[in-house]
Amino acid sequence: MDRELRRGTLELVVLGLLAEGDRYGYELTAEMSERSDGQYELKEGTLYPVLYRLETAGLVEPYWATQERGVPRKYYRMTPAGATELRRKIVEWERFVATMDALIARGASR
Amino acid sequence: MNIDQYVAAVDAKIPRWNPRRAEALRDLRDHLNEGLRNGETEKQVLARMETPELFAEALLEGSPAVPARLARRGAAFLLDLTLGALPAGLWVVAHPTREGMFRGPWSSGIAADAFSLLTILILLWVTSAFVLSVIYFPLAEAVWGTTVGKHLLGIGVSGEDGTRLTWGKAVIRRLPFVFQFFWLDAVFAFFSDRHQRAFDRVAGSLVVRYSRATLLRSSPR
Repeated sequence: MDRELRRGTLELVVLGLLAEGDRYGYELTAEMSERSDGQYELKEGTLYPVLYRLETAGLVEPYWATQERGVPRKYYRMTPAGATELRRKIVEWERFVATMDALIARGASR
Repeated sequence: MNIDQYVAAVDAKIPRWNPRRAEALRDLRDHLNEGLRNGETEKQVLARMETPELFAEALLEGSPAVPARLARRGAAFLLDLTLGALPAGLWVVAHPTREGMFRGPWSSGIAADAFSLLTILILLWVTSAFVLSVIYFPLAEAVWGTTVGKHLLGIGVSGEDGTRLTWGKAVIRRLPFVFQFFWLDAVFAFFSDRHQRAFDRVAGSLVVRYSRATLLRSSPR
């Protein structure tokens, strides 16, 4: 998948995954890769700046928890503002996909 | 390269004054170690990462720096000069041998004393400016990315891309002070959107305001 396309959709993907449940960083990258069948592989340096940006914007918040294997991990959970932003981004994404489909339809048919 | 070397290489690019630096490095190390806990080798874990330089740039890209205002920079500079001259200044005030030096038009009395003290302190302040410019400023900015005066006022120096200031840049940006054309160099800052002096542009450096409000921030609960 095109690198810029991944970068442009990463916030939406992260919010979407956190909407399902709290996750830590490594878990997010593993989930992205698994669900996309390897299509959405990203260099992991791209994830943390996005998480920090979302946190600064108040859309996610981190917390430490010790769960399986007794290893403390930094989890991220979505805030109510994050849920609102996710809904907005999904609408925006659907509109974008529909627009792109309309724009490239003729060229694709040739 | 192993995990420790990778983390150290990323650390080398992040300004020391970045309030998020320690946390970002801890997150990075935890992330890499998580891969090891999941049965991956160090090589496999690091193969998924971009180069340390690109990783650091990605971290810093998400936090655009706010150029420090000229008034704050000026105040920090004066504060550094004053702190630099303070030890010698205190010695001068206390030491009796200064009596009789620089009395001006007065031969004795309070006016002579005051004139003498003021003149010596001004000379010390000017000397401090030169010594600090040649030694302290480049050293402090290269090692810590800031000086005492700057840190007290919440500003630091980085490359224009937000990465840690290199030794070369730290020296180059101070050349106007060493060769005594600082005032000409400083004029450029008034016409720059990012308040850069001419030799800030030459060196590729930027003086920025750092605070938990303007940079990446987090306090995990």
